[in-house]
Amino acid sequence: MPASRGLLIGIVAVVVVIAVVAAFLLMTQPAAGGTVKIGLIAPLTGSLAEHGLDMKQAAILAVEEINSKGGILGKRIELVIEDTACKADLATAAVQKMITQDNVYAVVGEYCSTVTLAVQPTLMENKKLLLVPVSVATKITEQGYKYTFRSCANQWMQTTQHADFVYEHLKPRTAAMLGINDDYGREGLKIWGDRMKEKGVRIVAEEYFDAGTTDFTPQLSKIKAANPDVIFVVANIRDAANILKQAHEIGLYKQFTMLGGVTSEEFLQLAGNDALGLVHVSYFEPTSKRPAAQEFVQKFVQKWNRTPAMYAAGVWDAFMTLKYGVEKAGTWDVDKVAEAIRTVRFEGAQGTIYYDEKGQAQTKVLLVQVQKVDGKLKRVILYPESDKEGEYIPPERIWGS
Amino acid sequence: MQPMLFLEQTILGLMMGGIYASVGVGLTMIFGVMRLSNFAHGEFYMLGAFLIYTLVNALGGDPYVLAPISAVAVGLIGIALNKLIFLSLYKELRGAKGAAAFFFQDLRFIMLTIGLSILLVDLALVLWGPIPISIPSVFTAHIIKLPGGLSFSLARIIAFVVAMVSLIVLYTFLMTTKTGKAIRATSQNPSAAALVGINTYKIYDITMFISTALAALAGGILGPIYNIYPTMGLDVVAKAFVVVITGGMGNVVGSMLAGFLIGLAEGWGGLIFGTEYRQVVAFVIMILVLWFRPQGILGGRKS
Repeated sequence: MPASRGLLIGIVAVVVVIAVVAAFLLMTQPAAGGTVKIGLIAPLTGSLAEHGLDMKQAAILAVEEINSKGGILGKRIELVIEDTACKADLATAAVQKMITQDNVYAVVGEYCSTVTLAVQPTLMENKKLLLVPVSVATKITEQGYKYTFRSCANQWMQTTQHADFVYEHLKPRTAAMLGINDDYGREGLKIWGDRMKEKGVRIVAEEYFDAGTTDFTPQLSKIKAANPDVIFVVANIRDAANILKQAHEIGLYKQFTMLGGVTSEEFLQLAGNDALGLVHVSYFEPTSKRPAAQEFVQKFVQKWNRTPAMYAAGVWDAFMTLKYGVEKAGTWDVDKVAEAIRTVRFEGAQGTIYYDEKGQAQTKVLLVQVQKVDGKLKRVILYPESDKEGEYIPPERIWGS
Repeated sequence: MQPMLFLEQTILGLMMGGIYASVGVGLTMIFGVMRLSNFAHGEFYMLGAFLIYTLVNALGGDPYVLAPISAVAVGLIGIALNKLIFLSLYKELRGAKGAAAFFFQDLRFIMLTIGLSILLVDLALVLWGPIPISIPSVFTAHIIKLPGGLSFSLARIIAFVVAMVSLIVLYTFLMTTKTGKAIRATSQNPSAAALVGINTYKIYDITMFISTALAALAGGILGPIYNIYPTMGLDVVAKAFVVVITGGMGNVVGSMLAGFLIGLAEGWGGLIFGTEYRQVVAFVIMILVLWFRPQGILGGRKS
């Protein structure tokens, strides 16, 4: 079939020529007149869409804020938002599009650690800044990538500070662990379990569940039978609410403690009274009295008519990191900006933010407990002392023994 | 392993099994009667839950009282969809293959229902938003304590009872009434049924109504126990297909049994193999059944 083969070669040749010309045109294109494009990748659909919404709203707010004050070095920011649904393939495609088609300067994202890890190499090879606002997998900043910066506490920071607090204040002798069956859950349980074992706490149960599970009673039954003093859970808000509801349903009223995945008003609405007594980590509380945090919360509520969760704070701080970094560098040159970000220090929504050599923000973690204040559920800050709002209440006093 | 733990999981597994059974039965009826794999079945389950939420907001009252209203409403949506988009395809297929070989599993049907599923999920996303919602019922907080440390919420028991009653009613309906018999006749041989004067298109409407209403009822009664969100149907539809295949495609009684079997196996499987393998249990059962009895546990015996 020489004729069809010739045609095929012809088509391939034309496609290659078009691709090369297009790539050349895009590469030589100057960083567009008065605007700079910044990409945001987040799960806007799918089971994590509620967190993606926080990220998106915070990004829009941050860009409006920056542009209203004259942009960065005189350039307006233009936001390019792509949905990932927490899927690595969709995210990779979105990032490819952002690099080749939109010619973004930096990418902010994403929620899921797996996705962040998947898009990271592509962005680094193309010398694009990656500002990680929410993903906590410790590895992200440990791999030695020069252009990666994370504006929230990583998994290791969150989990060890959480374990230390639980050990010191709740004094458990035995503990059970329940985690989502992915790298977030597995890493969380490993770090927490190791830290507790070091202190002599016995781990009496270690259970996992798959994303999308609705019924947690087999795990909870097993934990109930093991009779631990505390139960450490790594889950997102939807699963966490179900876990607490179903635990109480089968008569499991022990002290639950969780990582930062549940710090939002939506969680309290979902879990209702079942959330009472829960202790968890948070890297941002809307009630924080710090002026920068209050300013952020006010603007967010004014624009979106809802209270921002900590994911929104992470995104806000990621955009501010970019702003202060570029301003300090005095240029858009990526290498110089990356250097500058390592030396900036500013008041963000989460508190004072500065980065270490690896690009990890050195932020403080808060420990909070869900309590009833004036008849309403509220997260009460227990730790650190500087932000403390109340005392820890053991579950026996909430639920009766 | 403590015996109490097993007892607790047996009861909880059977309760979950009742829900699997009512979702699976609807799916298997569609398959048996209309020869159609409905990949949008989970979305009717989701619609049922969200309609109740909307009704509770609009009218007030308890979700369990409003569940039948939402089930009927979703059933009517099922009929409308049947008339609007499926009917022309049935007619086309029937004409193309001749009345005797009414061929099913047409690729167009599969793509159509997958498309419908995506459409309904996105519609729910627009209408109700991505944030999960819980519908409180007065029964959710009622915990019934049994001796030996066992306890269950009243809501879960109600969900189980409603699922059981609807299954028994359906079974009686199919076995004793004239319409039920017509449905069974159509499922056995659509052209012969048409020959003896059964309006098969009307039977399709009725089947669609029963199927979608059952799914919506299951979604509605689970709403107060779990929380509801637009993609909840996707999480349940795979399990429903396992139930259908395990029970024998198109076999109503088989699906009921398979539903309970899988609910129970998941409860026990979690205890024996570790809960991280719990999701695997249903599929392993399906593979084993397909291996030794490819027609399903009650397959080959149409009911």
